[in-house]
Amino acid sequence: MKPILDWYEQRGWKPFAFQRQVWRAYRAGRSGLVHAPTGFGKTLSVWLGPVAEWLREARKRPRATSLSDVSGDPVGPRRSRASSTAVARDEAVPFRVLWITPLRALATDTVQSLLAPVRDLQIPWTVELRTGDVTATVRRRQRDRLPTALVTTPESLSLLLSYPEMQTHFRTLRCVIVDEWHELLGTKRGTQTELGLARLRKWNPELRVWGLSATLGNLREACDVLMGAGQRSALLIAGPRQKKIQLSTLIPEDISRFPWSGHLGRQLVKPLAEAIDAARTTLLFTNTRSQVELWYQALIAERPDWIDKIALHHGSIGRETRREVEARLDAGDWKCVVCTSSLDLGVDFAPVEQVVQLGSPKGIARLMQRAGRSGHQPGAISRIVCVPTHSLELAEFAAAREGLRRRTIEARTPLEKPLDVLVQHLVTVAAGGGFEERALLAEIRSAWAFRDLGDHEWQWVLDFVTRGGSALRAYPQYARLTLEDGRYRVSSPQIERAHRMNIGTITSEGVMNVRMGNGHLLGTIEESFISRLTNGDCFTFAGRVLELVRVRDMTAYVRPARKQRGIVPRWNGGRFPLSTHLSELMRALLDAARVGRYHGREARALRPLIELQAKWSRVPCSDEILIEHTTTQEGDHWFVFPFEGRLVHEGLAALFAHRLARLRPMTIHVVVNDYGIELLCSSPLELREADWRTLFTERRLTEDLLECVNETQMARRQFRDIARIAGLVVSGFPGERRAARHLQASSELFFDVFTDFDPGNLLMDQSRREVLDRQLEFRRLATALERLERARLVLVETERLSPLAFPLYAEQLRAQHVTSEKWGDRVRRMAEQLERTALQAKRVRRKGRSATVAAD
Amino acid sequence: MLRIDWAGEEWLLLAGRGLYWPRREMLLVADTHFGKPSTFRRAGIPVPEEATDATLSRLDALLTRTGARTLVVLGDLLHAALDDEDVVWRRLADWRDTWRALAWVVVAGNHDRSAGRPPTAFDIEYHDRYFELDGIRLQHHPASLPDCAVVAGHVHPGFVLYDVGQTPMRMPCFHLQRDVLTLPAVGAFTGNGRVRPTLEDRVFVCGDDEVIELPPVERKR
Repeated sequence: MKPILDWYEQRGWKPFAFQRQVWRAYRAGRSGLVHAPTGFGKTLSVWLGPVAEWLREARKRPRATSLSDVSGDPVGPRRSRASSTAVARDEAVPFRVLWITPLRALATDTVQSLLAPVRDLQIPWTVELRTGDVTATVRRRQRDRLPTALVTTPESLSLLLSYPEMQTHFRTLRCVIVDEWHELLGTKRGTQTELGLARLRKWNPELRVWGLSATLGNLREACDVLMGAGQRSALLIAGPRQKKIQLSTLIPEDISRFPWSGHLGRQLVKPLAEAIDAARTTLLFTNTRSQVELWYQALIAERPDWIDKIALHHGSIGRETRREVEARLDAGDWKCVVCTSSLDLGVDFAPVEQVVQLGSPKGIARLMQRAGRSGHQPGAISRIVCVPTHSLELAEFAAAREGLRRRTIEARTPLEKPLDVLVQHLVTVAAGGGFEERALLAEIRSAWAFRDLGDHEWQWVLDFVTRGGSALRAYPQYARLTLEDGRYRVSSPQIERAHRMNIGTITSEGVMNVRMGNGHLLGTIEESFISRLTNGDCFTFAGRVLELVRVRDMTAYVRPARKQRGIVPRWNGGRFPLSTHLSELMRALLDAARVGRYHGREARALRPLIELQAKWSRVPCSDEILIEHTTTQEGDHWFVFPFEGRLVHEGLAALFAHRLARLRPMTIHVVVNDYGIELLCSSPLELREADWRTLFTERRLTEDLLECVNETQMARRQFRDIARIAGLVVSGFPGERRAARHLQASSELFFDVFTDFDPGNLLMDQSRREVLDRQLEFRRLATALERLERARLVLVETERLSPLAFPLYAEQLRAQHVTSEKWGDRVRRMAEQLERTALQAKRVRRKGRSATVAAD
Repeated sequence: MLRIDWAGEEWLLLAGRGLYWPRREMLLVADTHFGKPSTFRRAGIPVPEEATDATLSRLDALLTRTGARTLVVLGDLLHAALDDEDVVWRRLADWRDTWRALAWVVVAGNHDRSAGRPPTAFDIEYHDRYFELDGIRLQHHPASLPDCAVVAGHVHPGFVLYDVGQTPMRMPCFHLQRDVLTLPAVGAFTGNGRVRPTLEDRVFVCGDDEVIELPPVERKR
């Protein structure tokens, strides 16, 4: 440990107690999970263990490698080459450490921070990157010989495992480090990592695995999942506690003019600009990429002289631009960077003095994570400024403040048995040298997610990749894997190639490159958005207004637009639902407000709105459920406010709609947000308290939910990802020509064909299971329903939309619909509607009035 | 079944995605894409062969319902080239046997060009480019011609209707432009494209057992 301690001393540092603890544990051959907020030396705690180990061994060994050969070459702070050590690749210490990171964007910085001690200690180690961003030449070179430490993503690890020679290369591996494990946990990429680790552990039973995580509500479980089934001896090591977080909120001056819904809240642009002005460097976090584009525009419009001082950053912007933004952020060049979660992980940018959270953080863990991005000076406080985009977000901030005080941090539930990921992994393993059935099954079951994998499920997955479906069904001429001499292998080089193209569980569907005419890459955008545009249309992207020139080979070619404004793209990244903790706190807040108790500035600012709600309708107390009814041109609107968060509401709404549609033929449209549910019916719908009681019943809950999962679009939507991961839908890479044209089919088509002809397909079953468990959070839903069943119901007839109802009414994205109408009746009704709208439009045009309504 | 008069002739539009020409006792369909499931399976993507049976039963139903003497497939009869051992040949041969008296006409589509001609045993009158009858041109691509009406396929026309609250409802359709009538794809594993009609066009959407004409609408791209 001596050289390490000396190194610390040279830098004027002192190791934290937890770092020493991790080093000791590593030396003792243990594995574990380190949790601490960002910026407290988690990286060094796990990295220096293996380094110290090598130093120890090198001292004992006769000096085969001369340390003095390594020159201390002066290296800039952020070199972007994949490898940056002075030692020649061929002479470096063989492969020892595998570093897995969830974000490609993080990987380059990780390489840099791992290299710092390597350079200073002058050890012959190479540290290299292997992600989708690395050139083919480097990747090929790595296949011949791996560096001493490899920094990679779960997808790239999977890809490595698909090459037979890797088993030999990985023989010398001592340690795997999984960075930001909390980001992977609960996702299919997390499961992919678990499967990869299971394989590595089998190759090397002595392997040590260390995870790094932010604080979570279920750390022990997070640790168990990482270590795999049956591994109990792993350590959970806590770093220092996060420093104090100071939360302040920008309160709109005139709450009566502040929007009740939406995502802009223009009134606050000016005060926000002032807040940005007051700090040296600000990170402005939004929840969606669209908001990044919108707010960047709004800030530039407010302060035109900031054009060179503020930047924007999100996952769809081209890598080079992102790198540039990050480098200049590190250098303290920016006044402000508007960003999404793309910057809330990993590297610390020292100059960041202030963090702004735009819109509700929806969860306490996320708020803490983001707040932690500021105040890196010793003893500094993390300051976070919250900016509401609509009135009710003030209540969410008040709830978040209370949550911060109590430090009730959300848990991340790990995934159970996602068979699509298993299907993909099986083909990967088959490509990487083939497998023998019993041995692989044991290995798979050592991954936490598959510890309870049943024999029949395993048999089905095996059948699926060899026969196409269950053994009883004939899928003639099908072959993905073939059994030869007891080993499963990939049937053809073409299938192997296609599989490697398709590896990765989250490579998003239908993404297109955006390029200028000269080929310069600006970033990526969703195909579904581009498909709605015509050549010549303008849209906002990466902070500029662009004109679509043409679309070819999965690339949208653009040029700078002459227009000032363009459509803001919608990216399909999911919206965060309000966490259970925050939902509860929201209910408590309303309960207090109802009797005139307003705690904190945010709640006090909301007072006029809450009083309006009380006047026009009612403010529900925590043991009652408010139901509002309003009639508009569109039809009967029913609003229910359980305050349980978007996901639970989606489930409840589907359930209610399904139960209603059983009564008589009708079509019900459902909208949800974090506060409530709207049911909109195509024909008059009168509901009394007794009717609501029957909708709220827990009787036949599971059966009813299963039925509505089948009838609505939910399972179909969920199947999109599954089809891609299981290799049914061949997604072309952006910029590359589409995979063979004659093999194109949408996940919808597969969904239909399996529904009709192979209903026993377990992937279909998985999509239903995922809807129930993940999307609808079945357990939370059952609890919520129990609360509804017990609650007092308050039915209010409102003359106009109340402050609580309005956001639901204004919501553009309808979650789903349930119908029991006949196809023909429904089409005829819509046709009539179409005719009426066309007539109205004609009349409006004739009067010369604009039919558009100015929206915030 | 919905009757229309067009190009000086009477036509019946069928929900099973076929067009019947009563005077000629002729059933027209487009885009069967036979062999698509096996093409996928060979590439390691499982698609049940029943999709082929479903297409054939659709044809059975249409032929029984109309009593047609001639069947015309307006292109993309086959999806891709297949070897002689492929299961789909057996199924098609069996099907042809049950409809022995039927005259079968095929106009080649873009997929057929790479897939090649079907076996001669199927007794198909095969046209490489088009087939003209009573001044009406039957072909694969829906292109407008100066002096004759065209019946075509190729684009798998579909239409999206929006219910209250913008809920989309997708369905296959017949798309009638002034002198071009485009048929929906009859193949079961084919998917729909999207038509963008002008106010002059007519759109007929297909349900399970009903064809409904929509009011004139304009859908911009």
